[in-house]
Amino acid sequence: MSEATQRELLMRLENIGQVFNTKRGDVRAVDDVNLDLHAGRVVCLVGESGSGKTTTARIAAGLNSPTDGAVWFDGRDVTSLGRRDRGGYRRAVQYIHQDPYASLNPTRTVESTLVAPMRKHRMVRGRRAAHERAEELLKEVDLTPPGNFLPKYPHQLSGGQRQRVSVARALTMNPRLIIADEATSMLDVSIRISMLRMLGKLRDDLDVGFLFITHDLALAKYFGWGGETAVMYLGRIVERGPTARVINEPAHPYTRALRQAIPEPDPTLTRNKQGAMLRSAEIPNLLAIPHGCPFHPRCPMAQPGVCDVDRPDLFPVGGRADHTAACVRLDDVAAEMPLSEALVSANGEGTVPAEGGATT
Amino acid sequence: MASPAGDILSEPRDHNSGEPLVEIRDLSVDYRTGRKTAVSVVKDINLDLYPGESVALVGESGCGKTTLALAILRMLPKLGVISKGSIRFRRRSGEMMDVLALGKEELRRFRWAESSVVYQGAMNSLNPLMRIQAQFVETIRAHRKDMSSARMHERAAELLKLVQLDPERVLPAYPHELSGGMRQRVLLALGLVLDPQLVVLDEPTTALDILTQRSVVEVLRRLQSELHFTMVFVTHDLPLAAELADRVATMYGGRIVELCDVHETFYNPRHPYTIGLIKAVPPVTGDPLEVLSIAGSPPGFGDMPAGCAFHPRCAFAQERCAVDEPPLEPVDPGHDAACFFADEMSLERKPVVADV
Amino acid sequence: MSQPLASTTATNAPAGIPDVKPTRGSGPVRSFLRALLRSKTGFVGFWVFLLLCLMGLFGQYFVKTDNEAHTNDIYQFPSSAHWLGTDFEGKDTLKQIIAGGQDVIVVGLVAALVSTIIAVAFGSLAAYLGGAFDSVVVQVTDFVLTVPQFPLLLVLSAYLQLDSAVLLALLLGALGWPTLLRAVRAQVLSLKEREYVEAARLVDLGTTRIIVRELMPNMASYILINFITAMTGAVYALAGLYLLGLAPMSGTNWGIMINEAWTKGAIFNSDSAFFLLSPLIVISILQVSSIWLMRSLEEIINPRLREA
Repeated sequence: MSEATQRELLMRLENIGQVFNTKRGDVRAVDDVNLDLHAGRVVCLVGESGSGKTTTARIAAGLNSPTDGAVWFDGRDVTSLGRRDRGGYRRAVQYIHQDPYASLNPTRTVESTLVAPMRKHRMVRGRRAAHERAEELLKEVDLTPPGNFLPKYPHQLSGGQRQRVSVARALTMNPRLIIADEATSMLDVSIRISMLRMLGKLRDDLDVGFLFITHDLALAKYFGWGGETAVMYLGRIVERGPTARVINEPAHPYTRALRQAIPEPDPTLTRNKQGAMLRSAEIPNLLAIPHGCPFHPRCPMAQPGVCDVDRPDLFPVGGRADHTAACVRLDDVAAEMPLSEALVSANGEGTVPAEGGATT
Repeated sequence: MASPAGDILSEPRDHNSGEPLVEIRDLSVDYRTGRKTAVSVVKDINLDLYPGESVALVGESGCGKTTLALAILRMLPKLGVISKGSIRFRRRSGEMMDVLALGKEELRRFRWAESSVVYQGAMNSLNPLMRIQAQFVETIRAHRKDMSSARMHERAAELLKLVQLDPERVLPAYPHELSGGMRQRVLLALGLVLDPQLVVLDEPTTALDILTQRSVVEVLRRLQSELHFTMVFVTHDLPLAAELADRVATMYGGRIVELCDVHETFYNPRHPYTIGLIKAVPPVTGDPLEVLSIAGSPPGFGDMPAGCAFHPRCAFAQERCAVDEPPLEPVDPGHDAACFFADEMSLERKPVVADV
Repeated sequence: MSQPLASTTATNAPAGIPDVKPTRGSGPVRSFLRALLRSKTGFVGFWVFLLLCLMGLFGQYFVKTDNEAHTNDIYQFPSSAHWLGTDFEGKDTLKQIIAGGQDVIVVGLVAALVSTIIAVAFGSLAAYLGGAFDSVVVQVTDFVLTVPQFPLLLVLSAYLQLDSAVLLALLLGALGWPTLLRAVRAQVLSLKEREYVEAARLVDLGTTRIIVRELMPNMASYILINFITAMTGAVYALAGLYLLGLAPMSGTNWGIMINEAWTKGAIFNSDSAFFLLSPLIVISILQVSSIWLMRSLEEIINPRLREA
């Protein structure tokens, strides 16, 4: 993706690792993760529980310090930043929480929530200016007319509205990078898309880079279409590449299993999907990550003697450098793990079965 | 009567061939907000549930789907009150019984032997201090004092195998030793232990990982085809309805706005809200299709719009919609919709390169 | 089916159950007052407590201070002239009750204020900053906790002249903060992990602003409860001190009345029941009303205690 390299590189996560020392042993929540985040581009981080995606996001946001590796911001290691530059980094990288019901102070009005950081960092002079800037920000996040929302308390707003206020708060800092951690998971289905569109607009108009964390492949596909997607499993990236390729033509058995497992809003298609064919539905405990390829105990294509011995690196898929997957049997995946395809007729629309029966 | 074991490619069932298991007429449920005030949460529900079928109650937050599902078994929280209507249930003996007239003891017996509930958030529903084996025994013993310990153990093992769990591993364990997906399946097994005719599931796959969800879905499908119970499940996840339901009831503002066969729901929806919901879900497979949000947000119970509850958000609303409430009426055989202009509605999804 | 722990100011509804709380009246203060006054015990507790405090503070200005001694009328039974009877000198008991609350209530309030300020300031800083500061504060708190409060007061009274109400208040305040501090610290420890606090850190609001504006307002009822607890404790300690004659004994107040009842032999005289009981009862009413007030405050904070 040569276009990506032309955009400014904001942040680089280099060989990031995070180990938590718990009573029951060391948990390697994140292991050897590399990510580049550019201005105006989206990187989606997809995974299930235990994948390490949230921990990675928090490391990128500066909320946790990694135990291994380095975080580079604007070309400099963040641990080496002096106090003033730390402040700059802190403001340039913002984070949107998942739970709209917990991310706003219940005792502050919307205006107070937005104005507080402005005042603290002396970004405006006087109440009038602060009020106007707050109105502008609400317009950016499509909460109009802003006058209706500024005097309200969080409990008077819906979940979607609260999330937008959280985004507006992040925008007070004029961030260059926004990390959205499952920012739409707790919103109603019918408003998720408008939230994503709003974020997309910010990306295009303000050139903000995005790290989008989600467990929902469909949303990753939608929001990250022009960008990159990385799939995580048990703390490691197992596949990465342009979103269109990773989701439409996944190379790693785990990604293929995910694709097959997701229900679709189409009864004929979704009931035709054969099961994920995994040997076990349970994610192993992070305390006992399997030896060799971490996915091998569940993988229908695992070869004894190979997959349980060595951990595969990320290999190029189909000769492309920008799409890689951590599997030694990439060439056989398409044959052994076929995907159900959408039924597409000539005019590009999904096939509608004749009344009363299912077609194949 | 009971439908044959379904295969994966299920065909729409002929629902009028048997007599309903549950008949709900004009049901309304209120929540008390103060000593003398209440809000209406579910309104004027007319619904028949047939033996062996699977019905999805679909809608977003505040549409009343969970309330309706719990009301069928009279498992409403303290503040919930059935203000109107009737629920009749056909016992195994064939006799129709009035669920709302049951006394406390009869209700208790009804609740696990004829029907059961599987809640969401499997974490909280199992007693953390009891082994799984003991929870089975306790559940069975509460309703069937005549079963021997050996038989109870056998029954528990049978059901655990049906939900694809290893009894040797699971029965002696405590809930915290099992993963979320396993706990959900234990709850399913518990819900079926007395062979109920009706099982109500509240968001059975929410908060589960994708692959775990898939296994729970497969288990549910298999259970239904082998045990032939009637399944009602509440979900905000439309694709889940596409997976498991024979019929789908879309709910909005406390009412059923569309009720039809699942294929009709997804290929030929007639209510603007259903259409809007389908268009709001991005598919994973295939080229990106147009995805649209529905403007506005679901109404709160205090401020239900006049006329059709959906009209403020409806792209097709006309003057009449702000005044009259459209009744749920057949638009096609077996397909009911609550919209004055249902005949003009259709689902068009254009493929588009997602330009978000 | 159990529900997850609610937050300090519970504002969201669990999935599936509609959020039907009324939303008129915007501020948290107004809805808080409304919730408080909704329960019967809260309502009664609040008003009785308020009235007693007001009476204690200002009663003496409304009662004719000429309370003559009529030596003929010692320990009179209540009559139309003397609603609560008379004391050992023939003075009217009721007047003494109305006028005699000031010392007890003021000392109670000031002591509670001192305790609460120390507890809140150090407890929240310790919890928020963590590290060495937190360890030191916890150690000091544990140490002070192990010192028995009442015996220490007794010993101190032998060395210090406890004739000033202010000194007494400060002393009680200085002994009453450890339990409060631990409670405040625990509360802040849990609150600081909340998403909105983290969000405040993300926009770099700074420690002071975060503690004062993000944490404190969300602990307001909690702090209030602790304040009332401190006051209740101080009043108990005071009653004990007065009974033993270790508190300032000038003028007349509820405490002195208790002391006089003891020292002037009221216990041995069956006629003196009303004089003996009046100050005890009024102090008990004060304590009970504060407990009722506290209980309904707790119900507001922790919705699981509520009927829903």
